[in-house]
Amino acid sequence: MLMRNLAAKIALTPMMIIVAVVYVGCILWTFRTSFTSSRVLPTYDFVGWDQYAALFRSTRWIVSLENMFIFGAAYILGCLIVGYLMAIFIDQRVRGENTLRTIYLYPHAMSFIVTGLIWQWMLNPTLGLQDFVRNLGWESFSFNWIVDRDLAIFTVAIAGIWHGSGFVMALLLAGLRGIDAEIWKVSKIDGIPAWRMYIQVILPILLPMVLTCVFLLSAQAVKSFDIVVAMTNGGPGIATEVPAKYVMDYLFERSNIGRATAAATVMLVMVISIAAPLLYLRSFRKERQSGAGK
Amino acid sequence: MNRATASADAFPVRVRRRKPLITPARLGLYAFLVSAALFFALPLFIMVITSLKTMDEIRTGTIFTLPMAFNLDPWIKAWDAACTGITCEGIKVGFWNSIRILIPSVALSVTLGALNGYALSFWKFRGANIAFALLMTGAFVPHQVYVFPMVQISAALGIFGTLHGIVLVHVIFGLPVMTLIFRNYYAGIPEEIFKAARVDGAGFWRIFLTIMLPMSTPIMIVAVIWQVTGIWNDFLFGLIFAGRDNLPMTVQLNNIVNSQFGEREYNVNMAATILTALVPLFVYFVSGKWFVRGIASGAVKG
Amino acid sequence: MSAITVKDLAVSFGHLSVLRDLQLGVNQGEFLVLLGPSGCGKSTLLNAIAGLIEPEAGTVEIGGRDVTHFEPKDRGIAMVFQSYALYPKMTVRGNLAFGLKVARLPRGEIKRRVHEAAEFLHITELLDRRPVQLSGGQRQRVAIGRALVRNADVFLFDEPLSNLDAKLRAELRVEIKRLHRDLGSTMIYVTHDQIEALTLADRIAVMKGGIIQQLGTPREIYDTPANLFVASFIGSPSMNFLEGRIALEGDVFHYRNAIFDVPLTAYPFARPPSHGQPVLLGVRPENIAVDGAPKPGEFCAEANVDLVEPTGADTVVWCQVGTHSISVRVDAAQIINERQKLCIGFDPGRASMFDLESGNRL
Repeated sequence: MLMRNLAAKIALTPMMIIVAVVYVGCILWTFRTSFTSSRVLPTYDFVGWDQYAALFRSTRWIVSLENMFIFGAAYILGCLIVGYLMAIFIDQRVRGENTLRTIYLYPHAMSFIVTGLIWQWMLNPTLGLQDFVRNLGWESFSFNWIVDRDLAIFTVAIAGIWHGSGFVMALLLAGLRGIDAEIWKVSKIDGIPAWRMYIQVILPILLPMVLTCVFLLSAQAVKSFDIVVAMTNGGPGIATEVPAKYVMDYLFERSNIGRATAAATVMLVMVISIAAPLLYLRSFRKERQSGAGK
Repeated sequence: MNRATASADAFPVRVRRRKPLITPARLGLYAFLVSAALFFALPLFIMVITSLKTMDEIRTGTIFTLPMAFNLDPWIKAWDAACTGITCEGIKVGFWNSIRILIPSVALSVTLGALNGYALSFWKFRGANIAFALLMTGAFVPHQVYVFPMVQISAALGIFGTLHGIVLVHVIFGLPVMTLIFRNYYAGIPEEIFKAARVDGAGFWRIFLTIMLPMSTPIMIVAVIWQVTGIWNDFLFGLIFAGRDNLPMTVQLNNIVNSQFGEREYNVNMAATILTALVPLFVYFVSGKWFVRGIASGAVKG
Repeated sequence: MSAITVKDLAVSFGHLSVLRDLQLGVNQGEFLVLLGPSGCGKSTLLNAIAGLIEPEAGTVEIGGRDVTHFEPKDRGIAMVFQSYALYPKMTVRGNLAFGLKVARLPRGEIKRRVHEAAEFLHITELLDRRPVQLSGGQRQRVAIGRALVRNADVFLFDEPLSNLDAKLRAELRVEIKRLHRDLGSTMIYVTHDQIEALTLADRIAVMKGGIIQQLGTPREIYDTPANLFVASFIGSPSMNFLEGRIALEGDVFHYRNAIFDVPLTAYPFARPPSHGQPVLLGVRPENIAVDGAPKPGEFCAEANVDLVEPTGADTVVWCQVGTHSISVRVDAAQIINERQKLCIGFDPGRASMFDLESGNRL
């Protein structure tokens, strides 16, 4: 009996090792290091919650966290709304559907670095969109968010939405196309307006897909690093700093491994607290469905 | 057209309503679709025209001003002579580095993913599913959590800052999605085919190589597209693990654009940006529905 | 001598116990059908015999060898699956030859066996096609061919006809019967279709909840079902069940309820019942007579015809007897109208008595 699975076990060995060493080991290692006073080199003393306390006393970390939530909310909502609208409108038997879809989705193929650099240029206060509109004759037009401390994070969100909406559109459009066509016949007979259908009937049907989108987009929002580095590099000042960048800076530039791992651990906790309810909701739905099926 | 074939396509066309007439609602609909298209397409358009202008044109005109001449100098400079810090060899260095990273990373991670997916789908044994669940959970953990230990490990292995190091990192962090999409694909293959092969006397490797792999072409395409775009677009790992001599194109691009001395050459920057985006864009435009299928299969997590 | 002996077999998936303490013997050259509703464990049993599922406990012997820990290929079996399970990227020839190639048979031998099997199943002209180019019926022929080339002593069929339409199913059923006659091999055949079971089997094992409810010839299963489950699972329309009690009058047992009072002199009791025992009387629709007055010693109950269903060869009459709804199968030539009143009776010797509580045959 042992022999029967031997080849499979050998084949899965690399995965097992990677899971044990990286996906479990590294997380624990980071967690452990966050309780040390490690600076340039890791030490294995124990300083309790010191690093966390220092972390939450740091203005830059607090700003980073705030930015993550602002960016995350704007990015997720923006992607969902724009993506759902595009999916709905494209699903109305429009001309040039293929072209439109291709245009909507291509940003998703590009890296966040490229996305960030494109929008950095578009929003350049002296040569970009603001300059263009002023040249049209609207001299007082102002769109210099990217250098505005209060609004810069929203420019990052705009770039993110530009990058991610097509993705939501692609998933939700596939969902819309999978809905039984007869539901539309019924709605016509019952005289229900299309917009009500899309909000009250279709959206609940697509809910699992929407949740998937929320899940993936929030994971992306927490991870966001490249787009900020490319677009604003955290500036102006610390106006667009994010936790992922904080970790990297403290790890490599400020050589404060203890602080960086503490910050990384906080990120981990945040992802878990986002993921856990969504996964719970999902398994709950699944359970209910399979329960009803039997 | 029946639903089975319809759903096989990424975007089946549903024949639903009568041919619509031009109504105000339709006009509004198209107005929305066209403005959305402009929102998505204009940045690319602006990039292209900016990259073809001279710096004088950029300073005097607006971002929408078309270039006066078809000026390829910024492209040549971006490719061959743009500076990162003190070296001025252009983004081509990054391009070739990315290629050198890409090929082994994609080949290894796709192979490993296919093997894992196959083993997990058909050769169930205790512990395998727990490992898989951990793998999937690990995929959602921010990569920053792994960075410090991974640096330590790869330094201990003596591959930190080498091509081997960056390839290993890409294989490790590509593993969850690769395993997932292959596992889901193989889960859709009737188990009876596997059983029939067992009765016919074929073992683990023979079933994989002669039965399963020949059936895997569609998912192979999806997986390769996923990994090519993903690894090409990577910034974080390249920055940390590739080392000075192997910096991928994205990292080099960022260095060129964001750490320039003196006056910024926007035309060169845009040319370099387009050059960096070219590979994934090419993959995207050529692969079409496969790209979408990849998004869908990667999104069905858990 | 038993070709296959299954002893104390237990299989479970996780916490779900599918088979427990299962015993089964299959004779050499026998056609045994495992029949039951989905989830009854019949496919699991077949897979365990094939070696595709590891049993938790118990042994499987094939041809006198204990093969419990053998790989499927070493058990001397061949198997045909419901979904055909053809290797999609291989030609028909490749499908047939694959197992032989794995076993490293000489080229000439492989060629000969493939050719023979193809001849036998009339698929020679399909040999160079791929499975996608074949119809469902052709695919299942190829699947059978793939089993045939293995020259196995035992053939295992896992619902092989379930994916086919009614006409093809009937055709291939005959073909499988012919195959069994010509080869004389031992065959175990899993199905949920009672017609397949009744037409093909030498013996049928009716399963439910991982337990063999009854093992017997089709006749035995049909005429003398061992319990209520077997009685109701086999036959369409289903057997009629009437609640009642056993009454002892003198030395004659009677079946009695508000309408019927039937002397059970002709009923072959396995164990003598007790007076007042609550029972279910089961009688098949075709064993109910509707015509004429009762003969002496028989009985008659008045029935109101509710619905008449002509099926072509015969007619099913649904009627109401007191509070019971009873189906009766009559000859198609017999004209019966709705709302007509009938006098119905049956031969107690051909009826079945079940203990109400345990559901077991009396």
